Amino acid sequence: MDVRWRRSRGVTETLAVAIPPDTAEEAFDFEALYRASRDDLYAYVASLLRDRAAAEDVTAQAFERAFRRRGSFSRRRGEPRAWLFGIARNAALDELRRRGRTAALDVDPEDVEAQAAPEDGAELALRRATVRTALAGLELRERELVALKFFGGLSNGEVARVIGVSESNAGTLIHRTLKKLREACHATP
Amino acid sequence: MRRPDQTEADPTVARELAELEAALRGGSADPALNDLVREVRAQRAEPGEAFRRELDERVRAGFPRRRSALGAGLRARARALRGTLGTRRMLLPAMGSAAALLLAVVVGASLLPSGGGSEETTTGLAAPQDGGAKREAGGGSAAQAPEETSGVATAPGTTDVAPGRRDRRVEREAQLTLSAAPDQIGDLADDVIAVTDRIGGIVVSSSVQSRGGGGASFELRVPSARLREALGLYSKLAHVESRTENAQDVTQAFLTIQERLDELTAERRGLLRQLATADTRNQTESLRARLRLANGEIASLRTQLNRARERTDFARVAVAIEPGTESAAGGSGTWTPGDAVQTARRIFEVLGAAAVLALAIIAPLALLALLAAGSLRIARRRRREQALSSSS
Repeated sequence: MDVRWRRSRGVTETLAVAIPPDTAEEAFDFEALYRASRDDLYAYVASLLRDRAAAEDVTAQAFERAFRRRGSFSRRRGEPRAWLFGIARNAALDELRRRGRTAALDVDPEDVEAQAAPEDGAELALRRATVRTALAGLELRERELVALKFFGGLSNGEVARVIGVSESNAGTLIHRTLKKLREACHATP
Repeated sequence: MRRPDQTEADPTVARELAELEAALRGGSADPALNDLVREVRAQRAEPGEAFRRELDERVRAGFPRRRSALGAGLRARARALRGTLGTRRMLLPAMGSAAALLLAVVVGASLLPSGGGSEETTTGLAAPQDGGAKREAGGGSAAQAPEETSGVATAPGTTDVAPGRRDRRVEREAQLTLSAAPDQIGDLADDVIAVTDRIGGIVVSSSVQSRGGGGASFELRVPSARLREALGLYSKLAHVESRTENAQDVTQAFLTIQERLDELTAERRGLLRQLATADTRNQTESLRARLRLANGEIASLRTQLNRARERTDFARVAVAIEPGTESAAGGSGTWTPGDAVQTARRIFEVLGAAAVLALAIIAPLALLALLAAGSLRIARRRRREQALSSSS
């Protein structure tokens, strides 16, 4: 039997189908992540550094690092938001190490006060001052948990991944911090 | 003492955490908690507008580097390399393995014995004061003949074993075994004789056998100064099965004979002078007897001297031609399937040895690298946590 392979004839159209990359599962929209996280990340970093200028630098640095490392991101290690906060945490702690000290509180108190409208009255101003004092009395680790939870809006699992503990441990730490914060608020005259 | 993890089972903790989650979503049943969440969030620092605009711009631009143009080229190359390696991290182990394999091949090739079944050995000079006996070189170990380790025969004309002594007298000899196809032995024998003539050598004896497998042997004398050249020419005639060279420094023995000859010559001149002035018959007879003894000894020493000179001026070369396979005979150039199989087997042996060596190199290095990376990671994490603690 004479079997001969021949080129196809009469083909007038080629259908090209894009092959999805193997790492499609790993990919994420960096700009969407940026838009959703910019202010939250800044608030978190500022609560760690308590220095507006340093917080801006570190926040920008964290986004840049995340942008350059976005190819190495793996969803197996958590959500992009937790990954981003982890990068920011490392950058902030490196900054703290460099400085060797905690800068004085630079989160402008006037801004906070200004957020309370005049009609809110003295009671609101007093309440905010109380909370601010209670927050200032927390340890840095506890303030970090407050920032991750209240400012960053991370779940306990995401907080756990950011600070490098188990999820149950993170829940316990958050609970303790919340309890301490509430006690401090009640104790503050 | 309870571990923190164990508190998760505490229903109170779980309930309060659930309440917190609800308050963060804005719907807790605890009004105080809702207030606390609101007030804490009111403490949140907000980035300035200028910072927002600048960061937005940088994100849109893909974080362009704001560095000097001087290092831009180098950084771009480094970035490209990092990108290549970063996106293809799987290549790193392969590249490392390839490098280690290459190293192992080089090391393995140098460790494996030189193949082909042929031997080429050279024995250094054996001076009489060091024992005098010639050292046989065939298959000798490196400890016996250091020159063998290089696998290259030492040039007989250039070996300096008695530095500072001029006019050294060295006896040299070499044995060479060639293999050739049985039908080529006759032609090869003619070539051996032709080479010997060309370099001014002497064929002392030769024997060519045509029966059986055939074979030939030659006892040759070639000028010592051209021994190296002669061996090179013989070796080119056919496949060399073995090659052995010996050298023995006989300068001391040569000088001893020479000095004794000089003494006797001087004594003979003295005796002749005494004989010319001898007065009595007895004196004359006595002097003549002593002259005869001196003449005899002088003649003997001159013979020894000539023989020694002859042995050092001409090297003894023994060439044997043995029947071998067609492929072993030089010049035939035939490449048989058997040769291919043998070569392939050899290649696989070398590759196998190289793989073992590569594994021996890669495994500890990889383990060390992993340990180092892990240690660095842990140390960095601890330093960061310390920063968190010390800044509280």
